[in-house]
Amino acid sequence: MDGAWYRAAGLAYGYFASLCAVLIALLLLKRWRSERALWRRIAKSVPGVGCACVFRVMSEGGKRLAKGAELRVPMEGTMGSAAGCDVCIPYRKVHLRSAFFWMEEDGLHMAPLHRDGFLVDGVQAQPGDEAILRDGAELRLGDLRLRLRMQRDKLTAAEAAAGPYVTRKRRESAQRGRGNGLGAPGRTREARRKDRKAGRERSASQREAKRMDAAAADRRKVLSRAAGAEAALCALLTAAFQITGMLLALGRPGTEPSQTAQALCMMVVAAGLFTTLVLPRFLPVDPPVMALTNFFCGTGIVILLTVSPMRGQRQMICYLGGLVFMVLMSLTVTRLRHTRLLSVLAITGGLTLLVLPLLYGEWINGAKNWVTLPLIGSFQPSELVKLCLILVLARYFSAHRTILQMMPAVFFAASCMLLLMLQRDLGTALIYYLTTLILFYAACGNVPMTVAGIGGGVFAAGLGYRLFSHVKVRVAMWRNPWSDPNGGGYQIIQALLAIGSGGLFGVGLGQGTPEKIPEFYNDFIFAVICEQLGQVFGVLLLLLHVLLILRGVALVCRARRSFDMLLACGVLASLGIQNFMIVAGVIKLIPLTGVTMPFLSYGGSSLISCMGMIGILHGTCFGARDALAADLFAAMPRREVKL
Amino acid sequence: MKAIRRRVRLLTACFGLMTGLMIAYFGYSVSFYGGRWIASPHNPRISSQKKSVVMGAVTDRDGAMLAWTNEAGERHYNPDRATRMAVSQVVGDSEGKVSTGVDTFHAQYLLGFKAGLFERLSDALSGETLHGDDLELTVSERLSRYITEQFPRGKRGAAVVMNWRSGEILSMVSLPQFDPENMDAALSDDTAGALMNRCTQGLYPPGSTFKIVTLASALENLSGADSMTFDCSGRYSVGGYSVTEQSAHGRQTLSEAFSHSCNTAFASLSQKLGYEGLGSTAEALRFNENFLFDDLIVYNSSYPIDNLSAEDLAWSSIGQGRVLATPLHMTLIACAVANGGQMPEPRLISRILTPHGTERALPAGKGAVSVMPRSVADRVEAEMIRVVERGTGSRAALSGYVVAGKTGTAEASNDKSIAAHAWFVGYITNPSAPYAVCVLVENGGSGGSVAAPLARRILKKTVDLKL
Repeated sequence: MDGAWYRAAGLAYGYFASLCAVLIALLLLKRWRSERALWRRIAKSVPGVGCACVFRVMSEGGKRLAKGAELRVPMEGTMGSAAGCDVCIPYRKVHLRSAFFWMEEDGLHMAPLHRDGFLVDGVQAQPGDEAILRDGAELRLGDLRLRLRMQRDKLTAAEAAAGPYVTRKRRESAQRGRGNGLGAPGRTREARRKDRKAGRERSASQREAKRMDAAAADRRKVLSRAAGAEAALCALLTAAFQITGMLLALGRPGTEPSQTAQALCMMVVAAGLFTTLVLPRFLPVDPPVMALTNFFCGTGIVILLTVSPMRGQRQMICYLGGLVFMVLMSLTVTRLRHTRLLSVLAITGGLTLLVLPLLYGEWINGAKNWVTLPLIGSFQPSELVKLCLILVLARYFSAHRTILQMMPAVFFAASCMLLLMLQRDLGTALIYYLTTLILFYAACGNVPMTVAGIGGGVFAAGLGYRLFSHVKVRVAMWRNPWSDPNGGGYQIIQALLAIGSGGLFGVGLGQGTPEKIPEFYNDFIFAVICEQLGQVFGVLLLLLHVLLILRGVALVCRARRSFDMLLACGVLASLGIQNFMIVAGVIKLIPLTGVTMPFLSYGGSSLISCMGMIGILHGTCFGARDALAADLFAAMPRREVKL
Repeated sequence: MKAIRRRVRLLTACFGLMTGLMIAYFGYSVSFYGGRWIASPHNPRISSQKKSVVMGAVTDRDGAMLAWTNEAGERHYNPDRATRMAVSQVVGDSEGKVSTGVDTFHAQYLLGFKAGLFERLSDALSGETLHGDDLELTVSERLSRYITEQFPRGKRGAAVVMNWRSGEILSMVSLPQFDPENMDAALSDDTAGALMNRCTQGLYPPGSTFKIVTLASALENLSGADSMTFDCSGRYSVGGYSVTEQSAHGRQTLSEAFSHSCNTAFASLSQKLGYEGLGSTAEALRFNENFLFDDLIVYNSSYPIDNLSAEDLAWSSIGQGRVLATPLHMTLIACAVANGGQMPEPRLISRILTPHGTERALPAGKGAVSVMPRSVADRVEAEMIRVVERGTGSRAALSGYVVAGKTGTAEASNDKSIAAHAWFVGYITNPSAPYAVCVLVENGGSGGSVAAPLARRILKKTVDLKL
């Protein structure tokens, strides 16, 4: 291509990029709406959705609760007369919040939240106790009598045979924290495997299991295929965006693209299409989230290939590796059974990883957060420990724990932050801090403690401002970068000048002078994007990011276990905060914090950790969809599904 | 679970709000400062763009070439030395030393940053060297040259002529001047301060011209201001200091005090107004405001509002002490009085011509700002007319036209041997000749005897030129 054509094509690409982003946003919004309508329709027309078992009212319960009424019990939640309870018992003699319950494989577990407790089959349970209710158990809340009815299909044969089950006090285990919050409601894969091993009714059970599997898979497919055309269109748009961008990047006049780069580009485009179009059919992957992730990563790769080809190549390798890691994470999350062991591993592993740079790292740009290991090469442990942190927080904050029971996770987060402070990686420490705070608030809603946490953070920030001179410089340069345009303010001023010079639709891919900004490929990639592809595209990227978060929140709200909710919530909080911190820093809304822009910035550790987080999101989403498919199967096992 | 869902939704709303805030801030800063960022002397893109783009030409309102770039890529300025010097600070220089000049501040047009997709595409595909936009300014080089000739010899100062209805700047002259074709000489002489545009960047004590503001404040805030009388004994003591006058004016009304420019009367008036009353009027008239005009950079004038003591207030009311204003801002205040309280946005660019011969839309600007009620503006105008008819500004009177104005003699130093700055702010009230003028002669002496006659000559020339 000769220079003039290259310029023209680069210019047109800026407009094309904005067009792609707008179309993707519109498609996803459309899909979001249709999917929401579908879930609403299901909830309306299929009564037992999201319901683990039923309590039948056995005694008179005042005006609003007739004898013989049925109360649907979800997988996990609180029970009481308050309207905010998951099982709301509209009877004034029941406490506002009387019990917390959760479903496990061996029955419905209940823990009293009020000191009056409750009676199960005549046995008194008090705070600190944990009762296990089987099918037919009688629960007494005050003078109200309730009888538990399990859904027939959600009982294993052995449990159904055991009949009513009397509670047992489990004080010690309750003090360690309640359950794992994960128990599957009855017929799990493990249970089926055990059945098969025992060889009881071998062929019949196998046939039955196969039929059920097929039927459940059918429902799952219906759910995932519903309004699936939009995700496919998004994938095609992303592919077109990537291919044109890569052609432009590789076809820069006067350069000869390497064979490796060409091969990698093809693989990246193929991987993008494969993960959005094919992978959701047999692996836990959510198409809209995947489409957005691929678009972000594709933008980063195209920009990096243009401004710094070698970095672009490395980024492509990391992206492919990240996709593998994402799939691994999503499989892990869907198959997660032993969170206690996993969280202990995460705590020890996380702390070890964070100590490594202090022992073996070197000071780079005033921070010591990189470490080089044999085989793996150099990486930033703090990025990977983010995943550990989210896992540990979700584990210890889920299932309605007391503040004391949450403390292990808080201590883990605090020690992580301390280690990060020692590494002088204050930006990442801030992300850890805010993620912890947000998850704490989401989990327990304890406003005084949250405010105390904010106060502690402000105090720590003040201390950091006094202790670290570079924080002072950062704040001064945020207030007025023009006071030292060639020294401390150079970076931020160059970023602003790049953004301003780009205009609405950019100077064109491959034009402009991004290399004048220090760290243009890393923290400041947003400025480069704004210069080359335009301010409009920059804003669209931010809006797409909001869309990703909103999609994630929809998934969070559909999850049936608080563990899943908090896991996905932690991912969203971490991604959202990181994106806000760096973009707001680059446009001088807040002082600059040296963190990467998720998915877009150059950096293997950052990209792989972000992909891992997306994997977690996929996993939790799949859990919700799987549970819905099972419910649909329970409600209409033999009918053809038409939704 | 329900509770968690509710809290997650709340947190999402917070996140959405913060992102909305970020996007709003992004849009705000890009639309208000984007052009200024491009024009920044720290922008490496300007110099790299200059190599690949033929910079557009700059003409005055009559089409006279002020600056252009030849085929070799060299920037040239008007061949007549007097002309190019008269508009030197307005046009700027080729090296970006005058950051407020059109050549630097409007580089986004001159270097083609504003071109749309099709223009850029056709330029890129035709393979020709890219051309930037041409700018036609509102200033007149003839008027600027005349003002430069008429300015007292060897004096520094500034003069602004504006159309008070449209806000077009007809001339902006700052002395001393430099020769853009001979930048070495201008840069080596660092005592002159010739690179600074005194009209927009020079912050001076406005002296008695600030009494326009004090008068407007009194008419707006004090009922019965008309019937007020003041005893002038030549000295007004406040807080241990005293505001003095050369001769006692005796008993006088507010109107007489304004046309005599009586310091003691206004100092005592300020005590009645209080610092909130005067401060609110000053801020309404855009003191302390960060001007973000589309066409030019104007430094913000300052009026102290932080716990003003009684003597500070007295000095502020007569435009001394810590009050500072640019000549352009004082012109804008005169324009606001002439316009019935509407302060126009100053315009410097009249047309932007693309290399394809079409005209590009001018930035919309923020339009006129209402700074005082019409009734107050009319009263102030009547007082300003009286100043020229039989007060201190009588030497600005122009036959055939009704001129309103206010003189000022601002002390720039405590040292009495250093002459005061001479000010005159005024305008022609006739709608057929809507010209406002502001003259400042540094250390020129009395405003009434130095600045007012110069303002009269400038107004006369402007009328003659029919700009």
